[in-house]
Amino acid sequence: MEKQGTPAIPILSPYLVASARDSAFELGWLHPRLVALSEPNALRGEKAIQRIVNGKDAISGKPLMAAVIDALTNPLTSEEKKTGKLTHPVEPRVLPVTGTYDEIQQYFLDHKMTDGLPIVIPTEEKVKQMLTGTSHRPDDIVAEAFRMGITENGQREGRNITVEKVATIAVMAGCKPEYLPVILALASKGPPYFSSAQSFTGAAIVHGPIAIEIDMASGYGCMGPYNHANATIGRAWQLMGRCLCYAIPGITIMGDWGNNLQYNSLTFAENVDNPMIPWEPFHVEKGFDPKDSVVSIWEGRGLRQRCGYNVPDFTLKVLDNVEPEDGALVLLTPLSAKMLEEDFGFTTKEQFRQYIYENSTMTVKEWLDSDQIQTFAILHLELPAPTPEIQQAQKAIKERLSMPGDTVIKRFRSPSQINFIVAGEGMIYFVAGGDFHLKSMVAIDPWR
Amino acid sequence: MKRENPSPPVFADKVYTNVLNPMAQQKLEWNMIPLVERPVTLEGKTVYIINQRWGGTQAHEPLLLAMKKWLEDNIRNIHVVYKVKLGSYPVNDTDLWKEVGERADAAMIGIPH
Repeated sequence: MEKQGTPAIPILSPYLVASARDSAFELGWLHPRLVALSEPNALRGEKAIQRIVNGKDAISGKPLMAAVIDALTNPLTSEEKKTGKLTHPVEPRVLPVTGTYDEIQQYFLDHKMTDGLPIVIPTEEKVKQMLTGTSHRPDDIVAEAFRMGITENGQREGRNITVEKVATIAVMAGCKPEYLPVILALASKGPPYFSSAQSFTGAAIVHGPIAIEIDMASGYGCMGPYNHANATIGRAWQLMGRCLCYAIPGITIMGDWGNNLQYNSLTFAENVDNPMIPWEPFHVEKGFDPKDSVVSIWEGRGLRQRCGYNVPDFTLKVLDNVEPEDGALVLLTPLSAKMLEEDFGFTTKEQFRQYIYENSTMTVKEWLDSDQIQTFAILHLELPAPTPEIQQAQKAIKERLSMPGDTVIKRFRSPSQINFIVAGEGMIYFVAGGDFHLKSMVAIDPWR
Repeated sequence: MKRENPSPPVFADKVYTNVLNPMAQQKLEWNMIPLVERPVTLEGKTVYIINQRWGGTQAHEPLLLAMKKWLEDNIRNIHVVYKVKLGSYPVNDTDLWKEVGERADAAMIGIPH
């Protein structure tokens, strides 16, 4: 609005002030006029609203409405009138630091370049060794932009991410050179999470021959802290958030809690070897050749587990917290998959997918209570629907809005939102499920 | 499993040099935007209050309407226009920004989640 020539201010939560200043700086306002409430307001009651309106601006300490008037009427200072250029510092290829092991560790911590754990120090020599893991040149571009949010809204972004930059991070995470193609494939699609008030994590599941070549775990404890490749590949990916798009809590990362799964980005391999598995591997289902190595990239908040014979029913139970509009990831052990085929008659994944689609339900009231529906689905009915799929989705949403609150509806828009991965050793009938939706599948072989 | 007794790594005295930088380059230079000159008073002015809609229209509407009422009750001849922007919060409502540019003497946008 200021760009249109109108004096304008944002009214913020007190917890968004630092982030708003950072975004304003990125957009060109060095001295933005901000006003902040005394406490967050979303969906609060009348009592809180009166307290806020009659309370103080959390930035200046003045009465809130006086601060609003001042921000819109006080004459500009010379600083606020200034024109010129804003800059980010040039990032040197070699850091301006030498020191002992402890001193370098402290330097990385102080400059917010780590996840808090010690790193392997990325000396030129170590990075050179790492680069033997790919045929690509060090200065090849893996991603032109690396971002956690919407750049046009002032989110930070790293630019022209090179193979050497990714290799440097792979060294820090403790990776071996043979892991580098997987890490480059992940880097080509950006960080494992985005900036949201919610606490999402990415997940990376590796499919095809490379998982065996680099000794990734797909069996016992594959999601635990035991396997070197699983642990360090996932760590390298999350460090990219820190180093390639400046993930700083309270400024660029707004997740209220963060997510412990971010430490290794839920990285593991699909189990394709166990003879009990009746179904084709996930990447083959998605059209890849069995000999292709592929990493599937997911985004969600967490997984719930159940153990017991009734795998179909327990699958529904672990998915009953998935919000509408989200996709679902169901993890099955090899034995669970075999039982679904042999004991419950789901001879194909499609049959089981259809079962979940038909039987995973919620009420219209539950659906309406979802933030996803309130923040996006309903509001996006006002926008044009450019594809038949979006037209169909909008039609379904409108129908639901006219239904009584106790009407039972399907949780998922279509069976295609439900995905299955087989992992674990297969000793028992476990099922896990959560709100992870499939973002992309990336071929690893071009990064070898 | 038998564990071997390796000799301890020698880290303490080693001085590390040529440490590569993992941080990506951000944009190097962009234009600073000066703030728009303010009116001396809001009396007799048109002020837009925009609901940005994070959390849905209702999430912030009561607060923004309470602020609208406060302004109307306390500032003479102020004309306060409450508007809900198009779509969800990331949607760029260019028509509304244009309208604000043409009609408003001042504006505020509520993103107070």
